[in-house]
Amino acid sequence: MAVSSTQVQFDSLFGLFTYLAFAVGIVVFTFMIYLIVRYREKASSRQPKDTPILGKQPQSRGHVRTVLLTLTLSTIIIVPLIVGSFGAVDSLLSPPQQVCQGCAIEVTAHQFYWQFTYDNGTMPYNTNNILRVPMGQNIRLSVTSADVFHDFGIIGYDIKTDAIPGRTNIIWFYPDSPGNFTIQCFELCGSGHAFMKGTLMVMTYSSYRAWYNTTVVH
Amino acid sequence: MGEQLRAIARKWLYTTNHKEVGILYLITSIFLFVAAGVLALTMRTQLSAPGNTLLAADIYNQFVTVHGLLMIFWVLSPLAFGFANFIIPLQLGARDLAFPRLNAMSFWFFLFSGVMMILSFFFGAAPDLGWTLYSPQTATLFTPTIGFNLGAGALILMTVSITMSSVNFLVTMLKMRAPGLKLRYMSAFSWAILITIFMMLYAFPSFLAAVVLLYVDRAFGTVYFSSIQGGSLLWDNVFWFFGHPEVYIVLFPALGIIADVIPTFARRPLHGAKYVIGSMVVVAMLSFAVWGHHMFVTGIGIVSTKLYTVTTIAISLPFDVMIISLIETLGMSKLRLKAPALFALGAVANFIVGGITGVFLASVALDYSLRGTYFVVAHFHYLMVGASIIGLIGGLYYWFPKITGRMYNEKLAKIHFVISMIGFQILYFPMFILLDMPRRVVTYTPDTGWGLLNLTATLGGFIFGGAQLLLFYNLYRSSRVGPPSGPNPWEAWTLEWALPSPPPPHDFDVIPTFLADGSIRFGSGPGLPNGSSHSGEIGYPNGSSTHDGNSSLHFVNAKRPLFTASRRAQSLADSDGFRSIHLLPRFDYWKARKPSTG
Repeated sequence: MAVSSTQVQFDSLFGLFTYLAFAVGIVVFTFMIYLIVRYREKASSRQPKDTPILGKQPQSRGHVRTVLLTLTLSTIIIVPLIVGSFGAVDSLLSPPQQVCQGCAIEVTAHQFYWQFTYDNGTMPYNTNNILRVPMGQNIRLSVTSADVFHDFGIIGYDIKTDAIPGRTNIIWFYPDSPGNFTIQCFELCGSGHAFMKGTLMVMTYSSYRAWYNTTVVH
Repeated sequence: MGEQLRAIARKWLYTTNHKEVGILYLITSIFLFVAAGVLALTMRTQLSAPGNTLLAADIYNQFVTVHGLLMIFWVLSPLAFGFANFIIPLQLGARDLAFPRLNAMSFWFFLFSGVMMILSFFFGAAPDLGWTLYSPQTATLFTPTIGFNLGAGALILMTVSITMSSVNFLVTMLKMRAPGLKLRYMSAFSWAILITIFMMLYAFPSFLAAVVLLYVDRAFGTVYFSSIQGGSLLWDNVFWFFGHPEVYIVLFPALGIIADVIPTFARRPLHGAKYVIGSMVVVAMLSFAVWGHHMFVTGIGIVSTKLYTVTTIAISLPFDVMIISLIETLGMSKLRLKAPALFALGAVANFIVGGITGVFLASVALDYSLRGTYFVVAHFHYLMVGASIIGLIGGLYYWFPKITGRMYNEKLAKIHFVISMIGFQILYFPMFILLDMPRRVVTYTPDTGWGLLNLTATLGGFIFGGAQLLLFYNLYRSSRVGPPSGPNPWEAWTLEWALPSPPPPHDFDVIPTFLADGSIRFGSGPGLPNGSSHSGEIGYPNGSSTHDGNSSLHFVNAKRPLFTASRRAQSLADSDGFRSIHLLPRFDYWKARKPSTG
């Protein structure tokens, strides 16, 4: 069950990579193991004619055809990977211009907590580390850092961006189902790094609105 | 007894002989491998169960950082360059590196910088922010300890050592090859080292600049990297411009060893040898154009991320050529599955897994999820441990007879191989499945469900680590009581195997000459050099001859006058390919031991 748009995208692309990886891996390993088993030294082994000997340059072996074949097959495999990646990154890096009220949130990373500021200027200190978002809306996060290099990642959403002082990186997603997800820092940022967690709370639109309206406007 | 010890200490402290320096490199890096490995096993123990409290977070962070720095800078490269020191002059037909004293100096810089890095633990705290040293956490504001300054100083000294070493090898390989030895006649290992040196020459200046500026930031309060205006990304760029070639710098020597070991044991030439070398050159050049994939989610813009995706995925093409050629070498062969061959093939297998998963990380879209997770950890350990370390261990077994003159215990070595490979897979494969778990966390909560996979990895870690005790025991014991190996136990073709095992201090009594067809001739006839055969049937016994029937061949590269006025000029002439040895045979030994460094 998909939980967000980004996760759907990740899963399909990761699936493509994984299928091709297994296909290539199985072919190459089979080839290698076959050759090892077939040509390991036995009593019946034939002495190769071109065995390199000390004091002589080894004979040249192999043909450019093999190289071209390898390169052609490899290119055929990597083209869909590049095309697929481009498609996914185009959508990941084109955040929607317009999002609903309460759906554009600033994320500021601190050693060692997350601070979420809503578009009405709300900075609910009592709910530190909890990011509430409505389901079924495009959510846009502007991520930055107040001190050192952090990385904002939502486990299960398959989405991440670096939180860098002096820079703002934008990511967006579309939550499909309600629930709680773990937000965690993915770049070593100091002694509290492992505990720099937060919660992404995906609420139904109506309960989100109810919560949003209770927040104090500064 | 005391006198004897002093003599031994003097020998190893004062040595400039490339073989002895090479042994010093090998032994030192093996000790540092154990040190960094113990750090790793302690971390794995900490992670074996959720909520474990064996290590405090700040200690764990220091372990993570020093483990990475030691393994990359003080284990992988020096282990490879221990072999290079010992073997490259032998393969080139040179009596030593171009600048033997500089070579000894590189070693001592390397040793003391490594000690300095370890000492940083005892000065407040060792560096504790990952081997990538991301800014601005490196600023004094966030990391006030003196230990970090010590670590940064160690990195500077280490870079000095690497720079001296690469210049030394560059001059040696380009200027001191035996007469007639063309670059294209060089073995895959020599080529790999040559390409590695070029990468070092272009990558390390960026690193040196970065670390010096970092040190200045900390010592004098400048704001090169701590500035909020782009300091973080500046570090990212200069660091990774170095950092990506660095991963090939630690990989290529092992690849070179593999590409020499597999043909030797398959009893057939390397398939498509020139394409393998060509692919290495392509990778080396392309490696300077892929660093952006380490910065995919820093927000460097959609066009550049796409470009880096293409270059990074494209760099897999030359690797495909290398791997397929290595595998095809086995075709129609007579494969002797001795320990060096097993380790070389094991390294190829791990390399395939590490390489394929590297393509995942080359995709900017997948990086939005995989960045900073254990998937990355698994990927690069498959390459750095699975391919580099396993390949270098293959090299240890391969050249052990040459270095010590004795044969290791083959059965123990095979057991070592099997346990190592199994332990390795149990250690690192589970990490591919932990693709949600952040790297470098000291602990995790039970509800994440990561406990079982981490426990498995820890078990694998102890199996892999424990297996290395077999290696150390085998090499230590065999170096004392192993049966004599003879000059060429593997029936290999490269030049070092023409010499006695271990080679005499001056290596060659007569500098070999390479003929136009690539065959090697020692003295007046083809065949083995003296030292291994005293019969005088071929070559010259012990350099006692002052006349060479084919001496004109030796002067092919001579660019200097035949008779030189001073020893200094004599030695310079030597490095230009002009071999004075036939005129001054008695200075052989003296020159090999105490050369002038011009």
